[in-house]
Amino acid sequence: MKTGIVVIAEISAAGLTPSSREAMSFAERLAESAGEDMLILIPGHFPDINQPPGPGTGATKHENFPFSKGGLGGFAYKEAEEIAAAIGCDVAVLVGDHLSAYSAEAWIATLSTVCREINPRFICIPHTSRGWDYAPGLAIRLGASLIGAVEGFRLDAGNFFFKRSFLKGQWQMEILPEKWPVVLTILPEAKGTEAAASLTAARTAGKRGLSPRVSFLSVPATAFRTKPLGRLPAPELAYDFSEAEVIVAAGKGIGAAENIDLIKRLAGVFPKSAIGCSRAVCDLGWMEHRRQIGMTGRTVAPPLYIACGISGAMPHLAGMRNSRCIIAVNRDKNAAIFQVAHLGIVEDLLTFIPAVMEQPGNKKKENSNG
Amino acid sequence: MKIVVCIKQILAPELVELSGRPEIRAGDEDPCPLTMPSPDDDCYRLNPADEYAIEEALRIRESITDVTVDVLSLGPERCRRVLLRALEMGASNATLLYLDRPGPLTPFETASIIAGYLRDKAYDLILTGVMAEDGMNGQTGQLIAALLDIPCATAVIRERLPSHLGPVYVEREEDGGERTAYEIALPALLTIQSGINRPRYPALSHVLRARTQEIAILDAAPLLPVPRERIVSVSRTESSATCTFIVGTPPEKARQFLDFCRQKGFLGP
Repeated sequence: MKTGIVVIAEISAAGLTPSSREAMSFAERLAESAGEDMLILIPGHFPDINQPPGPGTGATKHENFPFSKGGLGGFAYKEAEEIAAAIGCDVAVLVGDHLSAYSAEAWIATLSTVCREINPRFICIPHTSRGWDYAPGLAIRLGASLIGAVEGFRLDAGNFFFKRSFLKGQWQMEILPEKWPVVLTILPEAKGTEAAASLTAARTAGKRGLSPRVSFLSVPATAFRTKPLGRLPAPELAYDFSEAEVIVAAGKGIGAAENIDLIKRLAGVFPKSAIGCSRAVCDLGWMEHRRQIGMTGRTVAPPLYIACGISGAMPHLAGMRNSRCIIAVNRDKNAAIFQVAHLGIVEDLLTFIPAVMEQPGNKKKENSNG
Repeated sequence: MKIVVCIKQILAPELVELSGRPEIRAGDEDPCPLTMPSPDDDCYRLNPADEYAIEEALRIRESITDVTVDVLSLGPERCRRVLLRALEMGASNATLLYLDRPGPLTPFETASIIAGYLRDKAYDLILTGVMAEDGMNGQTGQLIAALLDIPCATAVIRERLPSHLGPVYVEREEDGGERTAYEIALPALLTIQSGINRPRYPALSHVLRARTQEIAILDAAPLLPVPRERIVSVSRTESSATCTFIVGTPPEKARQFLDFCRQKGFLGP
């Protein structure tokens, strides 16, 4: 069976990242609909692997490269084997010193070489700060179509339609790719990706009656114009939200810096609370960056999250949608935040919060929290 | 040294009323399922991230000598307004790549036109905002860089350019707010993260000067590529099935809100 679908996974010290698992799960559904096989590519630097032999140019063909287990040893092989077994499809680890620190340029050069050889129909990339960074360059190198922040797909008369949100999540569009391959970045929580790995365990392999293969491709480095200098310590200590039972978060909809005080007062109603905010609020200087919740801030999942004047665009949702209970207060009844909320209140915060404070029992409470 | 900042006039999501036609199918003639407001409607603005990009370019010009900062936008006549704003902030020259086509362009179409225009212009540094708030793609900058075959850094939250020759030092923001540093040879493209600086208010002298400045106009239609992906339908995001809305007067809403929190045990014993 031809490899029709490639997933490019990211690994961290803790193994495969959750967003990679979600992209795999999405790809598995796509593979099923398309009736094609799937391959996981893992680019990275694996210091405990002896540099595999191979010709000096281009990627080594993976068909020729099933490594013997003995020659590898250590973390990477075990990791790759576990992934292969769990997902039930082949895994190819891309090995090269230039892949040790992430750079879009190095990843694009490497992945385009490898993908050109595999020649898949779909390339699924997790929509992370990396995936989103290199996917466009990869698409151009491959002459591919490109669809970002994909939330779901639909197959109709042989055509794949991909769904994504725009205008702060209030609108959705369907996109039809017209050129092959198709590079997709997959949003976490894309439809049908829940229960990621368990869904797929050993299914594909079982169907084919083969056990998944793990191979290693040595990819030579070329000269790059981007030089990674490493990761920096966070500029300021992130606020620790872990103790809070209730997080009251402010969005741009609070209107002005002085209204942050209202957020503090609302938080003061709850015994174990903390205040947070969206990126827009930090950028405006209304609250410190360390309290930012969302894709480029903290990820939180408290028992209760109260979103105040937050529109609910994807980057914010990424940081809080797993909260056990979500209450949203927003003037705009169409705000995307209501998509994830359990309880919705369509009201101006400048009206609502004072009304809450006027309720019996709240008048005396002080805003000592946060 | 030549810097160009690519800026976009966006639909302000909260101001615009769009009429979605959910049942447009692939193959329909009309590629424009969105009805755009008229030019007089005050529902357009400069994309916020692009304002940070303009400011960052101006700061580079102030830190090293002999730098020009040009601005570029793609779209119909109304886009002059964002170019004027950039001139008022202090940009040297403005160019409008004129294209009056209904409906949104895909990032590939936008990037192909801009890259086509920039190809022989020998800019040392190209800046864009990290993402347009209306389309929410965050791809155009990377696509321009790839089409021009120059290196690119996205979500740049700090940047230092010691000299005209480069390399440019950048810190890009990753998930969770972590930062990774790079040194990138020029020419290069940076997509600027919001919050990197505090954009200035236009000085009166610049505002007056901008009024007399000409905005160059070029027909962008010949640069339109063969599309690689097509928007076939748009629709309002369906309302959630899981969200219960509280109705009533503000005090009633407040009471029900507190009752809910009390029931769930969030208000303490």
